[in-house]
Amino acid sequence: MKVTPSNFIQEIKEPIQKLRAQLQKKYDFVSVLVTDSIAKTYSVSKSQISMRENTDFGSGGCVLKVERNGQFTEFSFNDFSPEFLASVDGRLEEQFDMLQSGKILGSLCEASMYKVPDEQTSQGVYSSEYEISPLEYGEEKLLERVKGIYQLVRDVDERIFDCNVRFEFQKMSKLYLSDRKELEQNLMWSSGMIQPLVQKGKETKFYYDTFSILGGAELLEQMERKAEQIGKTSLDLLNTKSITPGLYDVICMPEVTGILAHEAFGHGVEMDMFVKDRALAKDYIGRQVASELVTMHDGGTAYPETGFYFFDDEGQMAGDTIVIDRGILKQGICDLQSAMSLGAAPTGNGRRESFERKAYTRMSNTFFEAGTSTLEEMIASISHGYLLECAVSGMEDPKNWGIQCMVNIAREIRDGKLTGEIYSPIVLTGYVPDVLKSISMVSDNLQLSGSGCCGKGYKEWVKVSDGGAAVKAKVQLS
Amino acid sequence: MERKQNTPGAVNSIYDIENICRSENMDTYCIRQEKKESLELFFVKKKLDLHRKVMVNHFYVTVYRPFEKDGVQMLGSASISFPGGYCVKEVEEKLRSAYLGASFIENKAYPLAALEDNEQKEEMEKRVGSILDFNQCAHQMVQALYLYDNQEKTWINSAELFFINKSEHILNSNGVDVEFQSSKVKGEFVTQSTEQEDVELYHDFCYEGASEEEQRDLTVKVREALEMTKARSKATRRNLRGKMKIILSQQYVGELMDYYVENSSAKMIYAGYSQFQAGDNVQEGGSTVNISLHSHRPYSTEGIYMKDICMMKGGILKNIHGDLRYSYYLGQEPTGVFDCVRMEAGEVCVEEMKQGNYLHIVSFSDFQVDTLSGFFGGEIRLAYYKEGDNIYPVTGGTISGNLNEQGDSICCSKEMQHQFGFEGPMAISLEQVTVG
Repeated sequence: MKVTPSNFIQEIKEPIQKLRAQLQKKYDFVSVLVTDSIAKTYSVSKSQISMRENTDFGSGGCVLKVERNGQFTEFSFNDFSPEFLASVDGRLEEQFDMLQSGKILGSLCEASMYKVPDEQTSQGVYSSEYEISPLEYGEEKLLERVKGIYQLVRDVDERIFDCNVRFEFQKMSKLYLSDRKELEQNLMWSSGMIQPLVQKGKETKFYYDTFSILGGAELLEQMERKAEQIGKTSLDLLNTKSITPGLYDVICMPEVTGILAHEAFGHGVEMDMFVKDRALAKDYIGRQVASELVTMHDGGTAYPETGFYFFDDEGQMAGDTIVIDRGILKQGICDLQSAMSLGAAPTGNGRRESFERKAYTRMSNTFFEAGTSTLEEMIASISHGYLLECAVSGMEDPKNWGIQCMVNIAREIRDGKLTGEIYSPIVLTGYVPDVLKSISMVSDNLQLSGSGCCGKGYKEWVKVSDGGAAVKAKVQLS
Repeated sequence: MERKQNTPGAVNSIYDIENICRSENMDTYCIRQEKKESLELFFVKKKLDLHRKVMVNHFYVTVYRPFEKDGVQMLGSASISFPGGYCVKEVEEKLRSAYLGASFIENKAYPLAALEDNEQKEEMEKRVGSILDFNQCAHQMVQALYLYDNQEKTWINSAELFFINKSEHILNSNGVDVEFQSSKVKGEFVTQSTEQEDVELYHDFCYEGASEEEQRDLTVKVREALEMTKARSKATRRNLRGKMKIILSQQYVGELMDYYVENSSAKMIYAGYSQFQAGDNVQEGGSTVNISLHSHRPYSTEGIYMKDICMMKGGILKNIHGDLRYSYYLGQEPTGVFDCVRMEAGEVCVEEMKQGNYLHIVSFSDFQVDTLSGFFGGEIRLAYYKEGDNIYPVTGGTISGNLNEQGDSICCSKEMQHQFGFEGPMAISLEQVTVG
């Protein structure tokens, strides 16, 4: 079934169109993005059951972007009363006057000047699909299934002293209006997490697995199918060792590959970083940055996962950008304002955390293509190394191409076989081109995960997915 | 979703929501209104790339539903949110749906916050924050930010500044009805240097306003940031290995202390994730960590009147902190959730701390502290390594340790730092940390 449009957006569309048309008479460029969203989180653990509307994923509101004399300003608001809408013109006027009077910037700084974007005419209404709407399924049934998953894990072994189970979804609608565009989209994603906790002495350890889908409550079935196995795997953490720091052959499972694709390279090809001269990738277009086995994609429509959308928050149609083609860096991803600055074409990657925030160049669905090896062949090829799974976090360094990832499980491989020894926690570090060029095998499966959000630095969280195939590489572990 | 504004059928006040709750026989509730205005400036080098204003009004409502299960009193709850001006009919539907949902939430009963006496109100009035004049503050902080950005090979690459005024109104069914306002100036900047290698470092800041002291603090922060970045540009990769004394400074001191703060929370203890108990030496035999907790807000989002507490003294856990529910479950007085950690100074100067060999890490790619296990670690972007009489700026490599093993060796500096969320020693040292 297709996700239905927002009544709220339909109701305020006319007054907003009138406001935009009125402002267009005065300014060279006026765009407006209206959003409406409902997101809910259901969670169960030993000590709590909760159900809440999740405002982290935004709510209903509007952002205007206006240009005067080469300078842009934005105004975000969520009051749609006729009185307030009538005051918007005056408020924008004040913003520009203050900006252009020099009262804020003083003598140390000045304002950037841009040419108005040359937009192509486009119009359309787009909707993603789902099987079971969490909004119609019923709160009681949803909670019962989340509780059921919790119990499945707890029943595995009494040493699992707790388990956090979370299911969440977002239904969102967006309307983008400019002089030449009128676009509407309606999307729904769902994601989940199962996190058993085990204890040894004073130390508490956790394992987790995540689930995500461009769709609805049908995701719960996937979670139910894997719950028991996740519980069993968590017990492995009761007997872990500390690793001897060093350079090792490793196999990154898809969730760790996802961190490599996203953190190690994805952030480095966000072209607002090119504008700021903060990304080394700018100087490497057309050059080899990875092994020939590596082809990397990013795009709103590149894969049906939680980072999926039809158009971005600046009214640019989403696509499938091939960032690395068989080891060669082909191009970055770009938002509209950065494209204006660089004289490049936007790739549909201008995204906002919500209508209250600025748009930046952001990833969407980022992944390495599948290869031809089986996981068994990859393990058999290693004399001493580790299979890395359960990625916890990662941090980018686009300027200097450093990479740091935290991984919860490293399974030891000796003489082509898993020994059963487990090391945890693990910090994976390296120099990005060294890591990507060291990729010598790529598995034949492809798996993306979109349970989390991506930040720009330490804020501006947007829903993304990442992943790919399992890859064999050489990395520094500690 | 149907929404109408400023019409007789629209919800514009917290009391409109209270009236709906009462008319729907929802007797237990907590409603919070948050109005926010902000000015935002985004710079690329010294050019203002974008200028934004935000003006929003949100309501957050939690409805509670008491019921009994197997002879035990329960209190289910469900939370909703919506912007100001939402249609009454729609709010009624959302509240009914939440109230129904709350009947499936089987949590043991606990009391809501109560306004105990007038003293609280009087005290709160003294703590009402000031409201920023955006344009004036923006001018002052932009000048403070760029004052020392005048070097040829080291500069501010980009910066973002946010000037925020917020007013909150909290009302619950237990008599709490309080309003207060607050302001914040926060932001981030990236410094770049091409002295040798082309490198950058990230920095952030947060203040309550733009007083002369806060402007001065930002200026000093930028000057130090530029010097650090210059040092990173000249730093070399050294293959450091083994266990050694490390020094952490600036924000990393607070981030490491979060381990003690998190594990002292009623939620972590009640769930069994934390083994901390009041009276225990949670510093594993050490006696150098003294922490109190403070809130910049007079009331928590649940309506709890916020009072400072002593959390740790001489490495001993003195008080647990937490929200209404988990505090009640543990038989503790609810303290609310704090936003500022205050740690006492130590007895040694930073210079004394630097006797002998050490690795002083001033910038990580990402410093991680695992609250559950006590593990901490990260990749080094810039550190100063002292060996004998020589000090080398170094980059690359990692550190890793565990507060359950090295916590007792924490030594705090006499010199203090004052951040919005952390006030404490400028630096701390730990012994026998793995470097690799």
